Amino acid sequence: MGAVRLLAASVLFAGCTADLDAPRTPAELDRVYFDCKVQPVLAMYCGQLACHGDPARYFRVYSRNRLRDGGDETQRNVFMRDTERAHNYEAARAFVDLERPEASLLLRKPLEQAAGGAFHRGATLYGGGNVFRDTADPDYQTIARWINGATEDPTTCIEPGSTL
Amino acid sequence: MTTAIAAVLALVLAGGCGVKAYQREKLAKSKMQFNPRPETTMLEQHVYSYREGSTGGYEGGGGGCGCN
Amino acid sequence: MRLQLTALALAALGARAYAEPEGEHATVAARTAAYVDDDHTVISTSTVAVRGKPTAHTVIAGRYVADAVSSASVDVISAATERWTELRSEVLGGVAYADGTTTASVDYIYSHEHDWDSHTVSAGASRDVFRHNLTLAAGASFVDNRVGRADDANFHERMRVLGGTLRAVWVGGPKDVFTASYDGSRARGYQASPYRYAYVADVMGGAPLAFPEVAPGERWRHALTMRWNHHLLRDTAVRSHARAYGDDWGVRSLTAGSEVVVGLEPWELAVQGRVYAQQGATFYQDVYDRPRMYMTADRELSTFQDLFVGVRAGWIGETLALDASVTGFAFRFPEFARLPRRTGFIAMLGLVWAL
Repeated sequence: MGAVRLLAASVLFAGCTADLDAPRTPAELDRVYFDCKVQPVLAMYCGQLACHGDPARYFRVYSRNRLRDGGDETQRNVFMRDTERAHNYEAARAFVDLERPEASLLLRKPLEQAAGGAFHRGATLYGGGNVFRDTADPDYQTIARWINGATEDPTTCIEPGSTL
Repeated sequence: MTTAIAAVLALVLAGGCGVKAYQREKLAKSKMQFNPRPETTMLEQHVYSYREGSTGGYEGGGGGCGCN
Repeated sequence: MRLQLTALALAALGARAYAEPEGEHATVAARTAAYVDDDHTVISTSTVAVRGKPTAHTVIAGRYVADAVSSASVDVISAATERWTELRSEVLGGVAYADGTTTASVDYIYSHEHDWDSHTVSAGASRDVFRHNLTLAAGASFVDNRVGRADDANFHERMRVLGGTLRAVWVGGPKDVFTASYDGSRARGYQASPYRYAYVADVMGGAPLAFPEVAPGERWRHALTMRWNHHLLRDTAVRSHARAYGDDWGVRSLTAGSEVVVGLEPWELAVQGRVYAQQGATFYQDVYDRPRMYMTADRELSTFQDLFVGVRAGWIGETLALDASVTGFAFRFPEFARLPRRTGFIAMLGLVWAL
């Protein structure tokens, strides 16, 4: 009887496993460095309206003269709003792998597969190849430094196009 | 486990021990089989397994797939 | 008579491909099916199976399955990509021993898609006792899945599944046969999808953020199933089943269904219905309130219900059997806002030819 009860209980209560919905500790990555160094890279290479400036994309990038969070056409080129910078920071952080930083999709997606990158539809869409040819690319290194904990002095860095 | 087996045996003995071979004509029909059309079962279970979150319990499973 | 009882035993075994050929001949079975739903998905499946009896107690089987999938489902549209198509092939080979009292079988299945390779090995045995009134069966299977990602030469993951089955089939009377079974499995490895991203609410009220899907690396699954076939009237069978399922991801479900099969020799008509109700995984949320260790966008891990209703007509001749069926289905996803409902149908045509 004990074995029968155990079997029935194992089916009925098979879902009672602790911690599957535990919160995730987000990566503690420097916000100033992102705003000053990484955001311009994303805006330049990723924010086109046909690419990650398309709100249908999972990874969405707000940038001037491209995708904006609200406003009309007359405001498309205004300085980045706080909400847009905050969204870009959180969106980029979501694609950072804390356990294996070098495997982060934020690095691997724009990297050529021959250099260890991941599939990226943007690499095939317009026949121009992927964003970074290899890991030596200076802008790839900018993102990699951010993921690996680089910081920036807020008193010396003026975010391009900011209201500062 | 012993009790479960005893329960099954009790059902068998109560209902089935008296079923002789010559009384099994109806049981031998294909419509009385649990899996008379394995290919149909396989296709049906394939749909259920990749459209639902459960698995198991029915015969005719196929190979693995990335169907979800 | 003995051959039909052997089929019963092989079915009890859970043998994947061994409906006993009629008489001493080999059989060829072919079937084609079309799945269509209103989530812009069409799946065409064709299968051919061959079974033969090289000796009085040996059955060998081979089967080939081909799936062609074309989909522009809400999952695809969410990624801002267009319709995709995919081909899947599956090959099965197996051998079984059946002497009317004891059966044993071994199967191997290889399936291939452009982003998935799978090897399955399964084995089982059964034994009739109490003058064939009770069949006890046990089986085990091992699946090795190599998971890839379309057009990504650097994505390689693995997922292995070890499963086991215990089954009892007993004759309840001249018109009744029952089966009870337990199926358990343990899956380890990559169980998410590289194509799906989970949404997390933006605390500042903006558009939700997307996170790559992450699933636990292990999953224990259990199913208890009861089935009952009852013969009534001159040539009618009522085939009923019920299953309780649970796993350590928190998914729990109940499945129940019944089929009424009426013989009007040489025709056979059937009506069947099946209901399914699932409680979703512990870590599932449609839009997560905050980032979680495990996040999924798989609606099949949410709480939902579905209903399948179908009709089948068959013609059974001396050496040839034909059948056709249509099944309609409806899904309700109260926890998946992107697709709250899905309906569709499955149409099948089948042929069995005894050589």
